[in-house]
Amino acid sequence: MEEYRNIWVIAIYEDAEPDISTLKLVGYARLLGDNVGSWVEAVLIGKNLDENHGKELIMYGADNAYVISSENIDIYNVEQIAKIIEKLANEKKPEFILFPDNKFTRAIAGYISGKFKSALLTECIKLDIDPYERKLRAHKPAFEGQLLAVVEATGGFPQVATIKIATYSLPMKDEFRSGRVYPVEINLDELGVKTKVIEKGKAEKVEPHNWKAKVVIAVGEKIGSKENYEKIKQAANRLEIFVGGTKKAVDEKIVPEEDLIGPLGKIIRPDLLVTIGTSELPDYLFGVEKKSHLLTIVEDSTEPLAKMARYYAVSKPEDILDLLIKEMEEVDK
Amino acid sequence: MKIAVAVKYTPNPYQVKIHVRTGTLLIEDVEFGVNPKDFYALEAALRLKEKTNAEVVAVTVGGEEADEALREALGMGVDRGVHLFDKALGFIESAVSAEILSEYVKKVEKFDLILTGMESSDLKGGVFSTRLAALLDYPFAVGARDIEVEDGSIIVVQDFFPKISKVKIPLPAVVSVSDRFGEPRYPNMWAISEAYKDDKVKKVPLEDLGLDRGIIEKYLKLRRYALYSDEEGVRRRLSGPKDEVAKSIVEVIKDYL
Repeated sequence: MEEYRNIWVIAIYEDAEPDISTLKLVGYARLLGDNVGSWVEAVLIGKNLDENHGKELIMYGADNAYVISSENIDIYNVEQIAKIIEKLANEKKPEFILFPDNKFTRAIAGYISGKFKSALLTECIKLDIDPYERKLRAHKPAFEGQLLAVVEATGGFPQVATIKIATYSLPMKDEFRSGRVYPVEINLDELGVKTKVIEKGKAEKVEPHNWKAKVVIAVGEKIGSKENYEKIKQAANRLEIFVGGTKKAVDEKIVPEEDLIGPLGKIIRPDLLVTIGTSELPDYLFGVEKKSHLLTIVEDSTEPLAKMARYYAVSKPEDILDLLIKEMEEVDK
Repeated sequence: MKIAVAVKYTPNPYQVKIHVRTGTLLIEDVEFGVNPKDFYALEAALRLKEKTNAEVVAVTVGGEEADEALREALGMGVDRGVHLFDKALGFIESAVSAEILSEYVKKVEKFDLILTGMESSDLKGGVFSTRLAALLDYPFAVGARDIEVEDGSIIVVQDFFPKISKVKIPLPAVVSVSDRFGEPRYPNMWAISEAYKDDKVKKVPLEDLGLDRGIIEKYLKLRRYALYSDEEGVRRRLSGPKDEVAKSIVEVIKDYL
């Protein structure tokens, strides 16, 4: 497909700050671009965006940036965002369109790839482009993340992918990197958007339930104090995350007895189990067929828990606790 | 009003094993059934049926056995089933099933509303609904917590947890239903067995829709399956300065909420 060129990274701005996942993806796209000899172009969509926002993404690795900014852009209107990207892609004909992966971008990616009748690879945890055949190749989770599927695009351009970027590191910001920023005017009324957003808000708070919670945080004795436990519990509960403690943490009176996780206490069945301040897996898989994914924060990367985890981070609990709580509060702001 | 619910026949993901050397699936002893998240879409359709007297049709795309999924849906109270089938349709990705369903809607039967689950437990993409909407050129809503019909339109509460929004879209439309919609009802065993007796499932072969088996690998080719622990270059560590690590941890958590 000769006429299709360049790699796009879609950057959707909720406020004037770029997401860390967007910056990481720009850096990742840079590596892909260098491998296949393509330019990386960032497409910025949001309110109150200007040349400087475009320049920032260039500093992280993009060659060009298109900035689409309007007071009437509404990130709650998925159809509108999707149609903006579709319109620009129709004009500029990118070869690949990449999104940082989340529920929202997956919905948009589905729509755009449908419009172009092209390949769509979602939730990629590793992505390559075949430089000769110009095809995306990816590893993605399958069967509730129990296995990996290795897939390859076979048809259509632009090929669309969403990438789970959390495990990739932030690229270095090169203040001297140059590139061009193109402001793009799009007449939103001509897109034929049928969706009307009537109301926006936050979900009602529901007290997290040990059995129903999708995410559970299990706290171990190394968290240090009762106060620390209460702090993380409060921050997490706002996001419907259930928080409990391991046997040892309960024995050391850091976690109250009623929050014990395991067959003698609260039975859990999360999609994701997060552990912090412990080197053992809490004894919770009692008569539960479902296998949770594990994210663990360990002090040493050779710990067995890190070996079996889907994701792990290496840090002393006291070094990361406050930052973690701050970030969890940000989600809900 | 006529509502279609797209259901997928999927294996129990926790029972699936692979042949490590060849990367193929071993699914002989695995239980199959309706994709768990599709039950929420069925529940949403049946609640709308109770309110508006709509006809609810369950539609599945798949091989010979996939009509089991329709019997289960019939057991929950769906009026009838449509099975878009071909023997070669095994595990198909959402782009393919969306295209087959869109051809059915274009050529055979129109619906006012098409409901889907959020994602399937096999190849998990969460993109079926919007891909279908694009092919049909219908408006869409994603992750519905609540759906209300209001003369020719629907009002949907969209769940992008912890944020929500209320949108109004004209019919016909495609809506994916969140697993926060409400507990799905249990299928009625008696109704399932009745569903086998009555001819409530219509089979539509691919040829009738003007499609052939080439569609299966039209967009994606599945090369092999692998175990996480065996794959090199699959990153698991969240690294960087502490504040970045904290951000990455919360990014991962958000994905599961």
